[in-house]
Amino acid sequence: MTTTAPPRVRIDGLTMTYRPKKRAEVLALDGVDVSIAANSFVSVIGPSGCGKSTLLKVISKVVGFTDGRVEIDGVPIAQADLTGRLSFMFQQPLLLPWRTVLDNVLLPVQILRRRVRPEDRDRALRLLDLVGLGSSLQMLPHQLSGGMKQRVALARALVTEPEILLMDEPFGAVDEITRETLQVELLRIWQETRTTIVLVTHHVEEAVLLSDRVIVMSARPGRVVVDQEIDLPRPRDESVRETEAFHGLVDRLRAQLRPDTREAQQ
Amino acid sequence: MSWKPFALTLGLLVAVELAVRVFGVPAYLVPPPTEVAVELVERWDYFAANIPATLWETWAGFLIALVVGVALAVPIALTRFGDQAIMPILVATQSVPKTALAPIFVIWFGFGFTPKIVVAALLAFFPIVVNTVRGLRSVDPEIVQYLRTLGAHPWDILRRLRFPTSLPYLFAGMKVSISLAIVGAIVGEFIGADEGLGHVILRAINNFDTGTMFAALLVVSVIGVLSYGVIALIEKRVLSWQPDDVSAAAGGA
Repeated sequence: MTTTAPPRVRIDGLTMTYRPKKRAEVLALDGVDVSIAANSFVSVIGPSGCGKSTLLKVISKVVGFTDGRVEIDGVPIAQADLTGRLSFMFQQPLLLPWRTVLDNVLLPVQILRRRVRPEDRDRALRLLDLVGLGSSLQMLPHQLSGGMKQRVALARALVTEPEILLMDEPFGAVDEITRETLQVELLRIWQETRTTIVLVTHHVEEAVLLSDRVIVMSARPGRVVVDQEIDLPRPRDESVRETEAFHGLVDRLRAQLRPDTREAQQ
Repeated sequence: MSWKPFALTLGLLVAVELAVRVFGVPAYLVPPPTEVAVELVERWDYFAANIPATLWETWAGFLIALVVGVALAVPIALTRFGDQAIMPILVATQSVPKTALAPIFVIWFGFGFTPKIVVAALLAFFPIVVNTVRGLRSVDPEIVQYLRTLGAHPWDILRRLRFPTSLPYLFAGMKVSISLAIVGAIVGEFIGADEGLGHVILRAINNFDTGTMFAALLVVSVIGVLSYGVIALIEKRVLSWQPDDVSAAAGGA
């Protein structure tokens, strides 16, 4: 981690309250401090409703916040122009059913730049190759499996070469085996592109396998409980799952999650 | 299309023929289908000469309804003003019998094609509005949110998401509308025309020439089926991205 350059994302004392219709105010995030270095992979885990997704929405300016400071590359988020610098990937692939695989990947380019240049097309083709869909360019979404659709969504998220990729449970809706394959692919692709990634997940193993750091949040109100460095060697591949160090980290994070789940159930 | 509707029609015609002949129904009340067929063949030139007017009024009215209907559907679907101010007015106008308005259109627009086209358009546009509004609203809100994270303008969302999503609904509306446009054209011709199949029907009734009238009705219904077929064909082309079972369920197959 560098000390001179400002971190890509810096969050200081982030507090967020919201008021559901005609009900009492809810404290969603309570004094969250997170700092995310450029080109790093950070995961956020925590029980449901701990404000993980809200955190991503704040970073992407989809929602505002009540108190605290959020900066992107040292610029307060209110002033920062994030168009084209930030990409989102969700649990659902959210593909347009009438567009082919290639045209779905080019959608963000069309919206950002109005026009698809030859180099955009080349980049889309390269990314589709990278996610293993190089021979399915003209297929329609309904012809693809769930895992293939998420691969298209990943290629689409990277086509604008974003500085930050925000992933909200991206593999939450696919089966376990597909999930593991996609994790390994994401690991490989991140090691090639080195985009700053913030991943929200429920899956402790997933977070440890992929991340440089794992942030554990408590149940509502969301607070940072642990900020764990994952010092497993890079470049990694799935064989890291077999190592002692991997299991040690997984167990330690699991233990941090447990008291919160019990609290949340009371 | 399969042979089944033809077989069923033929069966019904045979039944009518038998009933008319067995019970001795006078031909000016119900002409035997064979006589209608002979009429159709013998006076084909007369019918054929009156097809273009009706066809033109129908399709011109339909296309106006399509353009106006879609143009109205956008503000109704997407703005509070449209939903709360425009839509109730449209619903109110739908309760007015357009047929009753036809004479005033003749006074306004004369005896040419215009009043018939206006009646056809008025009858045809409402199903297009209702279906398109439904379609424009039936987008996945998560995709809308995704597009917003990309910095998409409302226009992008309309053009790239809402409009394509609404197309299957729009085509469903068009299939209802085209039949209504034919009804509108014929009714318009009833009020005052010197050509068109509505004119043929009216003149035949005035002469108690029920054979000619039924023959003209047959021509009208064939125009209806073929016009519907044209729309179904375009639909199949435009919505070729839909999985087969969906387009079949929507009536595309």
